[in-house]
Parts: sequence; structure tokens; C-alpha cells
Amino acid sequence: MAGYAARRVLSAIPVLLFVSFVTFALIRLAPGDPVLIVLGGKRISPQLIEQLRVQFGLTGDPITQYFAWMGRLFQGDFGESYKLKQDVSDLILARLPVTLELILFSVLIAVAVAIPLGVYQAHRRDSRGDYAGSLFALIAVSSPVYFTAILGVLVFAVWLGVLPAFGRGGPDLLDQARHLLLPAVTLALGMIALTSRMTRSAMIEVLSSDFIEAARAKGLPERTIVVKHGLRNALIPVLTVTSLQVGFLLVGTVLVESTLGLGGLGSLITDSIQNRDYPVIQASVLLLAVAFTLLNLVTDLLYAAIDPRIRYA
Amino acid sequence: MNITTAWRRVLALGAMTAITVSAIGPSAALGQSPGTPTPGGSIVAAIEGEPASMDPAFDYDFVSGLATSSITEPLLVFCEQDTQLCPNLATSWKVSPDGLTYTLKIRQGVQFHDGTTMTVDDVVYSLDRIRDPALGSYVGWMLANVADVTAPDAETVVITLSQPDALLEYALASTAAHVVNKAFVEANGDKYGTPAVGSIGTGPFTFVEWVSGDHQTLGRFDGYWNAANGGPYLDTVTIKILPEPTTRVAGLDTGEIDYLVNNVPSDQYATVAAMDNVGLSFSPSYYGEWITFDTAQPPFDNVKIRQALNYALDKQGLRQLYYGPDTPDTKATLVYPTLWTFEEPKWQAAWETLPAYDQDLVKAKQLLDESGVADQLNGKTIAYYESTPSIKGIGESFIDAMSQLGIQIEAQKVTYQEAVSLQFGPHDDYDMIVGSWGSDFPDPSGNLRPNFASENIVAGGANSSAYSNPAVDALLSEQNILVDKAARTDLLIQAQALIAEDSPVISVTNPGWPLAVNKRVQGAGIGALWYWGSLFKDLWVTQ
Repeated sequence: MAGYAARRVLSAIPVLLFVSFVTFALIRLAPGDPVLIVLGGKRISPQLIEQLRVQFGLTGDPITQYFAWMGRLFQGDFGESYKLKQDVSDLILARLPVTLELILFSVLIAVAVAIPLGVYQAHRRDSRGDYAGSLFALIAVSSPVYFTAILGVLVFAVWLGVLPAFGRGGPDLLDQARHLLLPAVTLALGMIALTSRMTRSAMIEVLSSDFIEAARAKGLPERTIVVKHGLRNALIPVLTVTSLQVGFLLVGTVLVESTLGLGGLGSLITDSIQNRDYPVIQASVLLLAVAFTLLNLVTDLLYAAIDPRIRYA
Repeated sequence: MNITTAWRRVLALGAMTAITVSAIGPSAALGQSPGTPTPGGSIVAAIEGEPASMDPAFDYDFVSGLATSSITEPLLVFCEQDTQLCPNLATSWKVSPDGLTYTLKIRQGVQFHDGTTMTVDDVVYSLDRIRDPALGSYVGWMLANVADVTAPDAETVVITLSQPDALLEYALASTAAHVVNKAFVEANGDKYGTPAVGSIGTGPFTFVEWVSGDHQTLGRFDGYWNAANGGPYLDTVTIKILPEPTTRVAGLDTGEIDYLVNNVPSDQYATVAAMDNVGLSFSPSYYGEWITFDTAQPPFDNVKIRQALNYALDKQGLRQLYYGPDTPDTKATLVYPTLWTFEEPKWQAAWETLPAYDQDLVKAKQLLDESGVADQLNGKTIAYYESTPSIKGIGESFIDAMSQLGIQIEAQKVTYQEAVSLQFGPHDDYDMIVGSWGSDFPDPSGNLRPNFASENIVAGGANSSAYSNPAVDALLSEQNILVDKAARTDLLIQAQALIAEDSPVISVTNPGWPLAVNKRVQGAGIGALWYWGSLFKDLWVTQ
């Protein structure tokens, strides 16, 4: 297992190099000059523009710039934000906790709702409850995160006044949870939809298989059949979808954070892309790529834990 | 003119859409607050993006100044609705007759937040720091003509110029002349102004914290030198970063946000005006929105084409649609009546003779035919961003007007930042832009020289119409080295007339700055140059 994990980590290196290069190239192809954008659309002297180009390392050919950036990266130097004049690593570390909290809270909500919902739907197949669940999933998956967030603010903060409209809250945990509820649910909706659908179809397949019939014939209680024999066998595809969804949550945070005033990694990425803040974009995208890679690895390792039939040589 | 009343009329006419329009609340009479100010309480303001720094050297935008200008202060301040200069950390200033020497008396006994006393060394250090090219200050250009700064005694600072500069005195009221604490800045180096250490100054509020991407917190400074004239009263001010306009407006409604300056979206003015707990007011500005052509390339190098395009656009209609029926008129100049800060009668007389290019499609058609190159307009693009409703509206309305004249103009939709990059880039990569500009100073030349002097057709320069007229260049440079305001006015008015005839831009709007404040907050009011000012000093709250 350790050897397998090591090989997986090594095989991620070319992927990460590719991602770093593509990011580097794409942001430079996008229209907009970082120096002019940083200076914010007011009067500036040509001397200052030239000086900032040198300071930002934007002189010379792009290939040399790329290798210079990679060189510093290997020494642990992520560079300095053009706009915010802080070390990129400091910025990312300051922003990361909010995003992790948000994702963790969303995943908990999503799993806690989606799996029981899917199991229920499979067990009561074609009942009214099943149809209602499907309808909910359809709406949840088709509603854009940005729209749901605004609608959530309007309904829960402005009309009902039961939740705060934005921000992280604090210092106590309860207030933080109250603030995170709306963004986390908004973010979790899409995941609930897909995961519950996946659980439902996987469970339907498992529940109609021979070993379930055998378990029924042995007279096991229904609860044991569904949860212990059924769910456990249905979990593999569910886990795959869920872990992929966590990856997409990272993307979703970009929208939710900006809309709901959370200063996490997502809003940092939005800002830095708009401001063409190259060092921040490059480091954040690389971080996301690392997170995706690790997530996939963890998923594969979890397979083995859930299903003893899967062994890695 | 009462703009608030104007807004209520817009609402009554139902000319604007709104998410929630309930009963229209009584308009808050901002600045005429009942009762006596009492210390204590806290407010939350919101800004639309993360500030660049708390270092005044990098405060040259609409979001950094809320904190920066509460912490550090300039030598002079803008006063009288931001049309004049008044003493601040300097108690007086004198300009030599040749305009080359500025002698400032420095206020004595002013305390920094760390308890140390401000000295002339701090003042000299602060000005030299901004001038130092190695720092790369965004406002360094304001002091470009300064040759030397010295302190002959403990109460005097002398600024010597290499050539006279009519705008230098205004720079002394901007972030270019904020007095920083020499010891603190030197001790913190590159970290100065970042969330790690913040900043200290002589201002009414102290730095408490800055959580990256989330908020900045300021606390009242009880040792403030000017506390006898008003505040500070508030215990704390929280400046919350909220990029989404709808969320800011929702925050006003729920009471989580008390104070929005400038960043109230214009398509939600009606919604905000209708809130019972919020007062919305507008203050005159030096800011305007306009369409600019790249006059260096055909067919925009043809004056008849430019005049035709000017006649084609319904500027009056756009002003009323986006900013209400009483919004100020514009004519073919960027020197709005608000900018007549000296020699007003002369400016008024000149205004009467300026063309307005009110929409006249027949005339536009005739000018297009006379030009002989109208067909070259087909397929030209107009760049605009959609995050500001009026900017988007001007772009769309222009395309529509041109199609009525049988000419196909393409929309080039960009982000705000891309638009900035076009407007201040090398000026050779667009056909037309819907642009905006606000003068940094209460001086008519602040809207003429950057936008129309040919020396500014460079990357970083604001001459986005690539307008080059030697006669205008000569007038604009000549007035800049004069100290006599009457003489300057004559030259500026001549330049303005030439520009109006050449029509290098279509001047569309000169909207007021919106200020939305929760009604429990008293003492609020802003001037045309609010972004250079200390906004929270005189605010207090009723419980």
C-alpha cells in the first residue's frame, strides 16, 4: 500500500508541472496588463510602469520568466502579490482556513443529507417520497451557486431575518456556524443532488442482487439488509462521485465566497484573476491541482479500506 | 439642487426597477443630526475589494483610503465641500512669488498613536519617501517637480521645486503628503502597511487589525490633536470587504452594514432609498463618464465623424435614466460646473458658449455624409464593462443610436480591470471605449491635462482619445507653470473651447457620489474628494 501511494504521488509530478505551465501561459494570454491594473486606472508615470515591470519580473521572454518562477518555487518562494504587496504564501495561509471550514461543513451537510436520502429513495422506489427527492435533486443541481447564494440572502437574511447576510462571524463557534450555514448549504446543494442520485441507483442495483435475496431468505432484519449488506456494497461508486464533488466544491467556493463576503482562498482567486495578479494565481491554481491529486489518491486508498476485494500489489 | 428629492421623484415615476420597493421612507437629512454627539458605539462600513495597503504611498483607489486616511493624515486638507485647501498638520503654507518655494509651518505637539510626538524629521522623511523612485509609490508623480525638502528649524519645512507646478499645493492634501512615523516605518520595512503590522499615524483612529480578505478594524485614538473640533467619537469602525453589490445592499437592509460610500450600485438606488433604516444622499463630484475615440486612427481622425458620433448619442436621456431627472447637465467638456473652484464667473461665461451636442440624428447623418468616410465606421468596436449599469447603458445606447444611422458598431465587453488596461495602455489597441475619470484635485486642469495633453498618449497616461493638438498642448503646459489663477483660467478656457470643437470625447454624465448610511449614524457627509479625506472622524451613533 505504501509503495502504491508513493508511485501515485510521483506520477502526479508531471501533471503538476503541466498545470503550472498551462496556468502560467493562459494568464499571460488573457487581455489586460497587470501593471496598469495594479495602478488602478489613475494617472501614473511611464517611469513607474517600467519600474514595476522590473519589480514584478515581467521583463524578458516568458519562457525565462517561467523557469525563474519555477526556480524560486523549488526554494519555497512563491513570490509577492503585485496588488497586495504581501508574500503569496502568507496570503494563502491566511485565507485557507475559511475555505477549509466551508468545504468541511459543506461535505458534512451533503453526506448527512444525500446518503440517507438516496438509501430511502432506493428502498421506497417509485413512491411519492422518491419522486420528491428526485425533483429536489433536479432543482438543486440546476440552480447556479451564485443565484442560490443571492436568493438565500434575500430569503433568510432580508425577509426572514434568521441568518446573517454575509461574513464569517465569531469569535464563538456557534456564531461562526450560524454565519457559515448559508454558504455551506448553498455549496452543498449540487453535491447533495449528485450524491443522492448516485446512492439511489447504486442501492437499487445492490438491493436487487442475489446476495440480498439470500440475506432476505435467511430472515435478517430489513434494517441490517439495507444498511449493512446493501449500503456498504453501494458505497464504492458513491465515494468516487463524492470525492470528485469535493474537488468541484473547491471551485464552487470561488463564487460563494465572493458573494457572501467570506475572505477565503476562493475570493482570493477571483480577485487575483480579475487583477491579473500572476504570482497569486499561479500559486493558488497549483495548490488546487495538488489538492485534486491528493483527493484522488485518498479516494483510491479508501476503496481498499471499504472493499477488501480490492488489493494493491 | 436637492438630489435626494430628485430621487424620490424618480421612484414616484416608477422609472427604475427595484427588488423590493416598499413605502418610501423619509429621506435622511444627513449632516443635520439631532442631539449631541456622544462617544462610544461602533459602525460597519463595506468596501468592494481588498485594500492594497495601509501605507499611504499605495493608497490611490476607492477602497484603501477608508482605513489609511483615518490612520495617517496629510499636511493640508480639502475643505469647503472639497473645493479649497485648509491647514491640517501644517498650520500655514506660503508660496514664493516665483512659485518655486513652499514654506510650511508644522503643527507642534501632535501625537502619534504610539505616544511619540510628530517632528519636522517625520515630515521631511515622509515627503522624501514618496519621492524616492525605489519605493514605487502610486502617488509619487504628484511630487515629480519637487527638487528638495528641508527643515531649517523645528517648526518649518521648506519644499523647493525644480519648476513651478500649479498642482503641487493640492498634492499636500493627498496621500502623497501623509505624515508617517519615521521610526515605525523604518523598523517594519517591507511589512509596513500590510496586515502583519498595519500602520500608525496621527489620525483620529488607530490600526486594530486587518484580517486578509475579510475586514479591517480601527479603534478611536483618544490622544487625537484635533479632538476639540468634533470627533473621534466611535469606539471602533469595522471596514468589511464585500465584493458582491447585492450583498452590500442586503447588508444595509438587515442593519449589518451602516455605511456605504460610492459603492452603492446605481441600479439599486431605488431599493436603498426605500429602506426605512437607511438614508441615501448624493454629493457633487468631479467624476464623469464618457465615450472616447482613438483619434489617431481613421475614421476617428476625421473631426466630422467625431462630431457626428457626438450628435448621435442621447446623452440627456442616459443621464436621466441612470442618475435621475435633476442630475447635472454636461456639455462638450470634462470641466463640470463642480470644478469651477476659482474664477467661477469666467467659467460660467465660457460654459454658455460651449456646444452640448444634444442628440440630433439629422445633423449626425449630415455630418457623416459630409465626412465621406462614414462607411469605415462599420464593424468598429466599442469597449465597455457591465459591472457599472451606466457604463453598460452608454455602450448599448451608442450601438443602438448608430444602428439607427445605418452603421453597425460591435460591442467589446470587457471586465472593469481590462477596461482600465485599455484606457491606460499604449492607446493603440481599441476603437472606442466607454471611460470614466475623476479629477484628483479641485482644479479644472485636473480633468483637462491628463485627458487631452499629447504628452499623456503613453502607457500610464490618461489621454485615451490619443488627442494631439499643439495649440491645446501649449495652453495646458503654460497654465501649469503659472501661480496666478486668473491667468491660468484664461488659458484653460481657451484650451477647453478648442477641445469642444474637436470633439475627441462624448461627455455623457457627471453623477453625484452616493452615500448610504444607517439612520442611527449621525454626522455623515462627504465632499467631491472623499477618497482623500478622513470619513469617520465626526460620526457618532444614537442608541
